Amino acid sequence: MVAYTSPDCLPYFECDDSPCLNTGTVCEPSTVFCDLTALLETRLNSFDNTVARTGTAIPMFKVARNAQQTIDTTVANADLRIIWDTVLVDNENMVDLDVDTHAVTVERPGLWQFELYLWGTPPQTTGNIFDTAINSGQGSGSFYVDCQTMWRAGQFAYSRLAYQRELTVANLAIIPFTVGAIAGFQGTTGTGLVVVEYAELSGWWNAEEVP
Amino acid sequence: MLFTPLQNLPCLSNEDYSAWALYMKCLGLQVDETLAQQMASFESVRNRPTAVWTSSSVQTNIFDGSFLSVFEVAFSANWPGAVPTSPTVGNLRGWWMVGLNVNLISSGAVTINTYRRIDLTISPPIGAPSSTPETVFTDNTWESNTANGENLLAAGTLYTTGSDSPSNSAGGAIFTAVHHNNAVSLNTTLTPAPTIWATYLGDTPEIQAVS
Repeated sequence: MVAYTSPDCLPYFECDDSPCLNTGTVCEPSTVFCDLTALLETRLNSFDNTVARTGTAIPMFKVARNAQQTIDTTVANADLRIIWDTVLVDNENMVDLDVDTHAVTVERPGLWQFELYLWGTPPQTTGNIFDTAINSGQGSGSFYVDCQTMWRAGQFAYSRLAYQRELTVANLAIIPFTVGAIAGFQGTTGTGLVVVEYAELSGWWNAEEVP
Repeated sequence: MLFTPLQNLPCLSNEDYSAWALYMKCLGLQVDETLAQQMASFESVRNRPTAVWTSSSVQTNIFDGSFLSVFEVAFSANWPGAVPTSPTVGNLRGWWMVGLNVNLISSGAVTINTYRRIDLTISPPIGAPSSTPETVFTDNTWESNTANGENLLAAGTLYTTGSDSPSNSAGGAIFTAVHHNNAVSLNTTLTPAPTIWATYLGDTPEIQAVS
């Protein structure tokens, strides 16, 4: 009679267990020991794989907009999205600028952190507010987090945003998670031109999803 | 004796049942050793290389273009080599999160609507290709009131091309510059003191799928 540990269900002999499957003169060995070591092997390997992945490389991406981008907000339904032109790192196939220059698609569940660093100018009227946001990258709405910075002559407006999000297996099974950024303004219209001098968006995996 | 493929755990075969006691001892010792190694790896993963520097002395007479230079180590964990008092990014190849927080207040009267700006500059690590550019993160705000002071935060992610050797701590140097156009007086740092931090996020090989 073999017993099992809980919760991992590892088999072990009890005192009155025979090491043999029969009681004849020739012992036909039980598989309990090899079952035990095989299960231990599976669990130890799983742990090694997890540590190896997170120890040497966590999933991360970083995209940038190096070329100046001008957004004309006087156009009806102006597209405020940052158009990414450079991939600085992507170690899990999250970025494909040939297909989508606005959004990064994250498919691994877990706790993620995203960072946006961006600088530029709203229409150059003193007191105008430079608006920036991390959003879905699917349009000019769907903000995840946003920031306002006042502009005055002589300096660029700098914006930095941080955002953490749990992506669950259940969520990702329904719809992929995408992330991008937008820039706009509030205040006196002026020329209506928002100029992004530089932008970079980073994201990295921090931990498994909360059970 | 049979052995599992990766962890090399022994299990009994037909001819080994006379050695149960020795087998149990060997298996126990091997599992124990493996778990100890895995725990050490896990601790290494959990405690990402991190250092925080601060300044215990108030710095005064900060004119436009000044460098903040008085720093000491406030905290470190798992840092590659000794943590220098001149803030650096360790020479680990991969991605880092770095930041600078400074509270500034005018030493005397305030020139209304003048800017306060900080630049956090990270030079390329020693041994990096000469074409590797500096990384600069900037924050800018406006002093529109009378001597309330301003809090500035510059932070972001950067890639370093350093070696994999944990014994080599000659990473990229971190410089901090303060700019302002306060014509009436100079600036002083406030408590809490300026803080610089650097955390290693990880290396960047392609991620392998792990279930």
